[in-house]
Amino acid sequence: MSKKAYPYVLIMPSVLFLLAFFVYPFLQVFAQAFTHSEGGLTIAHFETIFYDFNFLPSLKNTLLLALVVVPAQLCLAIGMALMISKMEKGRDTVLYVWTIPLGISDLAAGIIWLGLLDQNGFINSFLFHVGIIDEAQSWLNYQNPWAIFAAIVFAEIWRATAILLVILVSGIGLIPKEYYEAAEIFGANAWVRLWKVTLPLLRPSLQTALILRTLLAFEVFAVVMILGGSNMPVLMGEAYNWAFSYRDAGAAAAYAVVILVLSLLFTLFYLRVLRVPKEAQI
Amino acid sequence: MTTITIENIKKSFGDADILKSVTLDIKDQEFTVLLGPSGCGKSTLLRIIAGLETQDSGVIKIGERDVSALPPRDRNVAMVFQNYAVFPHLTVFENIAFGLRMKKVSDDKIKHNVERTAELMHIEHLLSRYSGQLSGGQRQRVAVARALAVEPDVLLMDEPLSNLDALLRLQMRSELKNVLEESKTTTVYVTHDQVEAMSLADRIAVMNEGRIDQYDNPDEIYRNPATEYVGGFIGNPPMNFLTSPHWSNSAPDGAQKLGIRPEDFLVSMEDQVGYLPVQIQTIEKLGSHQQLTSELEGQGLRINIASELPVQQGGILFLQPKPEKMRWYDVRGEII
Ligand SMILES: Nc1ncnc2c1ncn2[C@@H]1O[C@H](COP(=O)(O)OP(=O)(O)OP(=O)(O)O)[C@@H](O)[C@H]1O
Ligand SMILES: [Mg+2]
Repeated sequence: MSKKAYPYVLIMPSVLFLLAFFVYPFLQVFAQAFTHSEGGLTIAHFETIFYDFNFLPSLKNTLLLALVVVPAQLCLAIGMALMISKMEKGRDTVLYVWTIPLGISDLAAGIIWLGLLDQNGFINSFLFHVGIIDEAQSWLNYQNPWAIFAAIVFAEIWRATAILLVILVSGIGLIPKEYYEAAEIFGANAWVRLWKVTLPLLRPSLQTALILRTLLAFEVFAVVMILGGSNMPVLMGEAYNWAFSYRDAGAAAAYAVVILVLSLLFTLFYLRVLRVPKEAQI
Repeated sequence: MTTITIENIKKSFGDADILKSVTLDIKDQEFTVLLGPSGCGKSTLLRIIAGLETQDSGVIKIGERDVSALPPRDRNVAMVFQNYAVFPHLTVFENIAFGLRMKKVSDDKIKHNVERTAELMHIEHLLSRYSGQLSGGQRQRVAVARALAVEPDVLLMDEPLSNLDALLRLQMRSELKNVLEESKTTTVYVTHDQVEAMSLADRIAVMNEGRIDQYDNPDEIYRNPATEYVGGFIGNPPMNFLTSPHWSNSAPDGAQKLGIRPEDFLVSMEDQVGYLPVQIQTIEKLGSHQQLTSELEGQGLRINIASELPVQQGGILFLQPKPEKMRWYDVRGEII
């Protein structure tokens, strides 16, 4: 076998896997979104969802959630990753504890937070017993959209910050300590070192982490479903509704395409903004 | 005036004592080389001077200022690292400018200093490149330029030439020497290469397992090694040490060993008064001289002799050490 073909042969299995289980189904969905039920090209499915009263709110909620959750998680994860990399003992333990929420399905995470925040939930009964409130409060109802929003933000941050964390921790581990020492010698304090050394050298990891996390944010579903229900429509929830409640596979496929386009746009944005020229890599 | 005063510095990692009370007085504008074998604590001492490592006890002063407890950025030192540590995400220009930017120097002054030091190191044509586009030697020059650009009180260098090939090292060595002589910066330079040390240093501090055995100019270190260790470390081949040889009649009290350099013998092909016979084991012809390995009274002895002497392997040669070159060492290995 020629040397040139070797790398391609090695990645072949994963490429085949992706083709079979991601690209092929996706092409099907894509085709479905643009195909009339009797055959033939159409944009009718897109018209259906665009004129639906839930479309704009679900788009707005999804973007807003991503806009609040992702930056907050990024800052948290950078802080946590810096702390972990400074630790000499027990860093594995701390990292392990911090990543536990990742092992919990998002549905379960939603249920946990509902259990905390519900009218009969833990926080209500705690506040009642301590005497801060006179009767159990219902926070998560349609009169309090901001409370629902905040609850979802909390739950998402709790659940998925560790994805960013593990990527950043390994990225920080790749930066040789001589760069920090050189910066220190030449007059940079800890804050300057963070901005002039750590973050620039961390760009590849930041890019990966942000792409991954933002795509997941556009697919937010179960947590919103549990905590917000129909009071907080999101794109993924609408896709689910159209597919299973309204039995309109075409419209559901159209939602999937919308999510895909958003994801692509943001991925391209990150690739562009956080690009590291080859000659400037570590 | 930038002297460096190092008083009784001690440092251990865990229960390993790496530095055992090091004291050094480095003069203004002096080029001091810390020389010693791998693992003797050279880098540790240099990093303590820089502030990257904290001593367990002892005092470091730069000029009149006690810097023992100051962080590196407040010491006004610059450092060249063994593996350069040239920032990969910055251009050569920005690398050299890094220290100046931290000091909030004006853009004009930055441009001026960067261009001047880049010229000094012959890298003015590389200013817009990234470190990934440079060769090892060029990176090395950037690291030195970055250190010179901040006009530090003290310049610290940790084996800056060790990653270069032999030829480039030779070239960089003489360039460095010129540049540093010009800049008049007090410099501490770490190396385990004695030739580098001899050729660069005003004074060499020879380190031995966390102690400084001798701190003196290269000639003095070569001629009068303060300890057996120094004599055995410096010189190629090193000094011979003979236990109670027949030449001992001139030995002072307490003398245990005679130290004599390979080139410091009077040589004769015939027996004469005061000469002792040695048996020649190997001969290495090195052009300018011949290097012999021989045996005297059961002890190995290395001798350098003129290249025209007709010696033969297995033959006998008669020797007498030059009296003024004989050095005597006591039981502890210290010169008498
Ligand atoms: N951070 C550290 N933790 C534990 N031990 C250390 C540390 N730094 C250095 N040492 C030990 O201290 C000793 C001296 O190290 P140092 O780096 O000063 O040696 P060196 O003289 O510079 O050697 P080389 O010529 O190989 O660079 C070594 O035995 C090393 O293992
Ligand atoms: Mg070292």
